[in-house]
Amino acid sequence: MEGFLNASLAVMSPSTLPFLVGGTALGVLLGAIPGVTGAMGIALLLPLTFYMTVNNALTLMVSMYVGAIAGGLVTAILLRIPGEPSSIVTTFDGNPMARKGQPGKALGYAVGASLFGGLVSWVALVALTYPLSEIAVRLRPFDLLALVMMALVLIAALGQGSIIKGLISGLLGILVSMPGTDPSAGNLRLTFGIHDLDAGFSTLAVLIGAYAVAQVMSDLIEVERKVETVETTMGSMWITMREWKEQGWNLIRSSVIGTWVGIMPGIGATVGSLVAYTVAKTSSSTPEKFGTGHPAGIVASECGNNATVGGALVPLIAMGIPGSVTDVFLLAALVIHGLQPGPLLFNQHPEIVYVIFAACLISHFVLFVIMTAGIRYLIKLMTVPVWYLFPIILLFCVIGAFADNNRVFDVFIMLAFAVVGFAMEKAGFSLGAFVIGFVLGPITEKSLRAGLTLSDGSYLDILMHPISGICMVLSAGMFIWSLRSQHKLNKLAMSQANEAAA
Amino acid sequence: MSKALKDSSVIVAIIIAAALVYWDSLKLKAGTYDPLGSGTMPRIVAVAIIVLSLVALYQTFYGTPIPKLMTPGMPEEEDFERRPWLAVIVSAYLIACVILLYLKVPFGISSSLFLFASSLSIKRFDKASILPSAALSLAVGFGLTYLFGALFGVDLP
Repeated sequence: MEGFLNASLAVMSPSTLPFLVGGTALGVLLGAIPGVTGAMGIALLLPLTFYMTVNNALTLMVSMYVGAIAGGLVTAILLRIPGEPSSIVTTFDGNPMARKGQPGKALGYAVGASLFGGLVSWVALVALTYPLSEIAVRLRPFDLLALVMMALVLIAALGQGSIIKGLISGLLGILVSMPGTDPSAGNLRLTFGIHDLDAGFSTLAVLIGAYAVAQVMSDLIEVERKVETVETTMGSMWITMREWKEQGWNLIRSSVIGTWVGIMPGIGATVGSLVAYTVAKTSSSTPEKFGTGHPAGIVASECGNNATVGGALVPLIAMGIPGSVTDVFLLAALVIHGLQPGPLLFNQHPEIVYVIFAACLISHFVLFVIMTAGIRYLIKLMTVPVWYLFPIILLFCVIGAFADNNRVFDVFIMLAFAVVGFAMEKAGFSLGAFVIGFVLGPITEKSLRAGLTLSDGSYLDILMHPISGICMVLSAGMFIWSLRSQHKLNKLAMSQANEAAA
Repeated sequence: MSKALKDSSVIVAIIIAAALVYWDSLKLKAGTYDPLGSGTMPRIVAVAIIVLSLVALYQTFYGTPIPKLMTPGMPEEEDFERRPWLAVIVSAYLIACVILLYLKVPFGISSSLFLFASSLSIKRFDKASILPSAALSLAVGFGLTYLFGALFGVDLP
């Protein structure tokens, strides 16, 4: 408790508070601008954190993460364009309510639900991280390997699209992490005689290229998309206590769902909001109202996606496994500052963990103030001229890739991975799985080699111990379930297509 | 080019890349104290990628396309002009900018040129926007140079 209070005071000190407020505001801003995601913003900010203290860097990034998830709701409600992928479900009811003449009310429900979901997930973050890290520190190498495998299967199974392509993306990410000096044997591998690759691919160049640059290139194709705004005022955002009471159970249930989805490694806010929305709809006595501007739909979606923030930080801090794509960049920030996320972080640097906790909590309140007081200015931002914004983002990408090692070679690597990312995305491969595979690659290999050394070279040992065995069985189960449900969906689509043709 | 053909060309490229990694990892011999060696893990991953890619290739031609998630209220496919060539053009400008950096042209000049060319292309060429674009490009290009070079200590060319 004392550690947390000290961290809270540190986060609110004059030297760190500007990073918290600025990070939250920047996150909201990036989340609200269609085509720019919070993960992309955090990726671009990574090089700036080289020159900050660890506290300031983590405060900035965590608050930006919190801000970006909520920022997407503005465009989702007023434009029917989700500023963040996780806000897509908010468009289902938020935009119809706005079009019915109640844009302020829709925003009020969304902002309040975001705060509630975020706070519930923060409680889970504080309550679960330490016990989980205590368990994680006792894990055997094969247990860790099985957990990573399960994370990759989960991302592939629950992402939109083919599970096979999702798995390929994750494995490609692992493969890309391998060139350079082998950390165990110390010899060079897979460099093809290119000496600039002796230290492997620059983490920032790969992440920025495959994720941010590829995304900007995709957005450029759709630059002519028309934007139609709905006017609103701050006063109309007021929601009465009676209206909140009606949403009481929905708030709690959706927050718990979002937190749980966030804790599951590799799954992000989009799945959290979708599951919360589906459960709210199926358990409602008036499911027909969903999709027509029903408050329960907005509350479920925003609670669900904001609750994933705290949840996703749990596996990152406790096990070093990113809970979402944005967590990949947080993990990179920790590594840049010489910290290794995982079970030992709590023992070796508890002050860092407490700073993450404090930044996560305080930024939710700052977010609430920004969203309620600044909504009229946020709406103006949606008309920001993208014809100038995208080239500036690309320049930031160039600087980010260059700054890692101060060499142009890394910028060429970034460009190469931008092409790879763009092609993969257009062909239906998950970029989220790719970047998560890339950061998990070293842990995967280290765990496999250490596990095989302990088991005298027996791969079967992975199935012989409870944790690794259960994880492997669950992974296999999820893989089969995903293939079956995909097959069923395909059949349904075929029958619908045949009916339409008839 | 049809969607199946585009997808399959990406998958074939992945198979070739994985095969290349497999071939290169064969050169890595295991040591006495590390029986697994540096090459085993790349080989396992490369083989898994090749096997899964072959399945994906089969699905591309013989499987049914994956349906999109459609829920009531979800935005339908919007009707607006898509500009695929814009991504190609801006990518070309970006590559040119990086080549200029490689040739030690100062960052302020190369980034301003990139910004100017890209903004004019995205906005569609218009005489009236030349001067504002040029002014903004110079301000942002040299502003970023000062910000990162002088304040953050990045050793930009």
